[in-house]
Amino acid sequence: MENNGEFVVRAPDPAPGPERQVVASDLLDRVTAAMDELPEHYLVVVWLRDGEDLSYAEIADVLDLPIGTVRSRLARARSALKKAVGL
Amino acid sequence: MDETLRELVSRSLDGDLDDAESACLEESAKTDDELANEIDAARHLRGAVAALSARMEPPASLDKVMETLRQRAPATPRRVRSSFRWLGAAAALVLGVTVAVEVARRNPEPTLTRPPQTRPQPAEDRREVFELSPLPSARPEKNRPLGAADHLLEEEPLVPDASEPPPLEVLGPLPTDEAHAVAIEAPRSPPSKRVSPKGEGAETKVLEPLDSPTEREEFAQSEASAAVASSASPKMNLVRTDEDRPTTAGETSSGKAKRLKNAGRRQVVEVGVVMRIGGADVWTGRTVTCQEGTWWVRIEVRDNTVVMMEPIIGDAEGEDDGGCRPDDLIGSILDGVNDGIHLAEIVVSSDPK
Repeated sequence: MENNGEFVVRAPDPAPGPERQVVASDLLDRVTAAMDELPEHYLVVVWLRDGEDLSYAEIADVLDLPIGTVRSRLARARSALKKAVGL
Repeated sequence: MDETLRELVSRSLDGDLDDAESACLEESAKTDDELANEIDAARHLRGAVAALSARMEPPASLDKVMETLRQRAPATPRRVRSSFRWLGAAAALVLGVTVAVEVARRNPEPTLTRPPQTRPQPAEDRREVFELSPLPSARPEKNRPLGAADHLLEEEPLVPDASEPPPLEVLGPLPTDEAHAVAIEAPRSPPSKRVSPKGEGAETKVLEPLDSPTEREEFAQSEASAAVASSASPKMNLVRTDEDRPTTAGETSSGKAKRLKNAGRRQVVEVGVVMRIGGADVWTGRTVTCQEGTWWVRIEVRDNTVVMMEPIIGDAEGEDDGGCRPDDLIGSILDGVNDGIHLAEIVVSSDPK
C-alpha cells in the first residue's frame, strides 16, 4: 500500500488471530467427533441440509418423510450435535 | 429450551421462517440472552458442518442415501458451487447469442429481392432483375428499428475523466489464466529494500524506496526471475477432484496437499496472516508454516464461516516445504461477511513479535 511515497505494510493484529485459528480448528475436530456419535437418522438430515444444501422438501423427498418430520428431526439433530460439541 | 423455540431457531438458520415468525424470534433474541446465544451457536455449528462437508466425504453410514441422491438428481449435491458455474455459462451464452443477433441485424449482407413483375417479359428477353434492399441506416428515421442496442448506440459516448481515476471495484474473480497474467504483467510498486518498524507501535512497517541504481537493478533482476519462475510453473487445478478431497480433516487421500507458496520468496518464518475482502480485514491469524507473500483466493462463506477456498493466483504445486495449504483457513470464522462467494486477498507477512 502506498502512502505519501512510502510503502506501508500493515501488520496483522496478533491478538485474536491464534485464538481464532485454534478455535476454528478445535471446533471442526469436535464436530467431526460428535458426528461420529450422532444417531444415523439425525446425522442424515444434518448432512443433507448443511453439507449438501438440500431444501427441507428435497430432504423429505429423498428420505420419504413428511416435511414436518424433517423440520423437527433437524432441530433435534442440531441440538444433539450442539450438546455433543459442547457449545 | 422449549422444543418449539429450538425448532424455530433451527428453521431460522435455513430461512424457513415466515416474516411474522422471523420478527418474533428477532424480538425475543433481543431480550433473551440464552436465545441469542443459542442462535449464535447454532449458526457456528451449521457453518462447521458445511466446512466439514467441503473437506471430507459423507460418512460411510450415509452411502445408501447419497447413492439415492445421485441417482435421483446427479447435479443436486454441492449445488451451491455448481449453480454459480451454470449461471455463469448460461449468462455468457445468452449474452453471446444476443450480441451475435444484434450484430447480424445491424450489418446485414445486401439482400436480393425480386420486384413484382408487372408484365410478362418476352421469351427471348426473359431475365431476372434484382435490386439491393436499403441498408438499415438508409431507412427513414421513423422506420428504423429501435431495439435495446440502438438506444445504447444513440446515447452520448462515455468519455473517461482523466483528471480523477475512477475508484477500483472488485467485480469478481478472474478466470485462472487471466488472473495469473494480470499478476505477472500488472505494474509493480516501486521497489523497496527493507522492512522496518515505524509509527504507532509494531503494527506498522515501512518499506523504504531503493535509492541506488545498483539496488534497483538487482531488484529488477530478482523480480524478473520470480516472474519467469511463476509463469513457468504449472497452474493450480482450481477444481477439487475426488482424489484431492481430504478423507479426514487435515489429510488428503492422494498425499499431495495443495500448498500455497510465493514463487519469489522462499523463506519460512513465523508470520501473520490477514484475509481481506474488498480491502477490509476480515480475519487475522498467525502461523509458522506459511511463506511470506500475497495470494488471491475465491472463498465461500456460510454463516460467517469459510466453507470453501480455492486459490486463484499463485504457484500452488504440492511440496512439503512449509507452504500453506488452502484448506488451512477453511473453518475460519469471519466478521461481517455475507454468505456467498467472495474474492479474498490473503496476505502473509513476517511479524517481528
